[in-house]
Amino acid sequence: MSKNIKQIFSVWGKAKRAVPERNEAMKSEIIGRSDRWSELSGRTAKARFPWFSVAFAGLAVIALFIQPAIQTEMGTKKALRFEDSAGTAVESDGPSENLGKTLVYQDIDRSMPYYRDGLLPITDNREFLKINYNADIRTRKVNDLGNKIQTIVRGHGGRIDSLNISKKYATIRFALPEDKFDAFRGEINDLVRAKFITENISAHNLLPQIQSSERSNKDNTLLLNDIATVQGGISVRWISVWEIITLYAGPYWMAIALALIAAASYIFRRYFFS
Amino acid sequence: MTPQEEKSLVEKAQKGDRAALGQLWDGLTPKLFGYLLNTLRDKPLAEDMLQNTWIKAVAALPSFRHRRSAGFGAWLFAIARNECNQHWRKAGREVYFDPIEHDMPDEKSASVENEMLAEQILARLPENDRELLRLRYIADLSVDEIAKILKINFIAVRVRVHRALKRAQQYV
Repeated sequence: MSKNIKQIFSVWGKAKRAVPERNEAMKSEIIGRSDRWSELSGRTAKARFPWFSVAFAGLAVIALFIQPAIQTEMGTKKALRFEDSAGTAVESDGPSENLGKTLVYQDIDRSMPYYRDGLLPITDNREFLKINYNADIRTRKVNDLGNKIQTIVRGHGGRIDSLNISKKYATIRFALPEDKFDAFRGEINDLVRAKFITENISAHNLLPQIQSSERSNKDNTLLLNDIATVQGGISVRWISVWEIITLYAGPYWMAIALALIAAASYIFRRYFFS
Repeated sequence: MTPQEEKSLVEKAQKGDRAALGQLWDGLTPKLFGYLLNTLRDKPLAEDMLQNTWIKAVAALPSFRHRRSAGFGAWLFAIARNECNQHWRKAGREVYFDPIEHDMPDEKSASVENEMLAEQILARLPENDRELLRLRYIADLSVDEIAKILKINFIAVRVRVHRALKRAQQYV
């Protein structure tokens, strides 16, 4: 049955094929002028330079040189400066370079020259490490994160020493028991992805102060309490979409994207408009 | 004309071989003109469209690249179809199918009855089905080639042709 209808249309299709009355004249005309058209089309093909692809390739090259400079400038402007309780300045180099890293300093207390000069005898190898914790967190929701950090600090038996929250920037200085520090850090790290946080942990030994108080038979309870307390600050900053892309795709993402557009447009033009 | 012959002729024509272009004309013009005539229902207009189609095809021939799924024939029909669409856009209306007025079967044909039957069936089918059947049976294009011309999936073309034939079968 189906074959029948196919046969009907097959015969019909063949019967419908025809040549125009002026077939030979048209054929000669087309073929006779084909050389001129080919020449014209050649000229057109030459004129059809892939400007779109070249423009994007050019932009890719420009972006390759300009983008790192822009990012460096952005990073410099937004560099952070932390200061721990011992007065040691710790500077963050900006968002893209240090984010996602944890910097741990076994810092020497610069206010004690005899320690720095090696005058402290090595026979006493006790460690009374005082930990300072600083973190730089980048987020799109500064307020929410600031509130969460406060809750976490208080949840671990800590206290908020200072607090400053604005739309795009927040700083929280806090103190909390040393035994809760690891759990606290874990929760802080869970707040954002690793790429969006830079931690800076410094520790210095208070042995000279302990020895000093021991020599003078003073009560060193205050010192020991200080050691048992972790102090720190968390800085929360708003992050732009541009910086998020840079964090994930690397510093040359725009150059790469433009180069890909140039290549894709060239391939598209070459194979789909031919 | 087999696809290999067609490809070879196109390559020769691209190098400026007039005889090869002539052979392409001879091989493809009957199908193309038959398609245009059946689509436009107007002989002078079909001749104009045929000429325009070939002019455009020859002008763009150096940049044509043969593909396995769609050869020169399919490309030519795509140009012809665009020409028809442009004409209808400018004219502002489509010429409706009227076999009595425009396209009575040729009395000299050996299969007049078959042709009349086919025309009667086509008259009752929607334009989309008619277009598919024209491309399939007058232009003698493969499903892949029709898919390229209509810019749809080849499976969709296969299904649509099957459905069109099924609908046509009802009117036999």
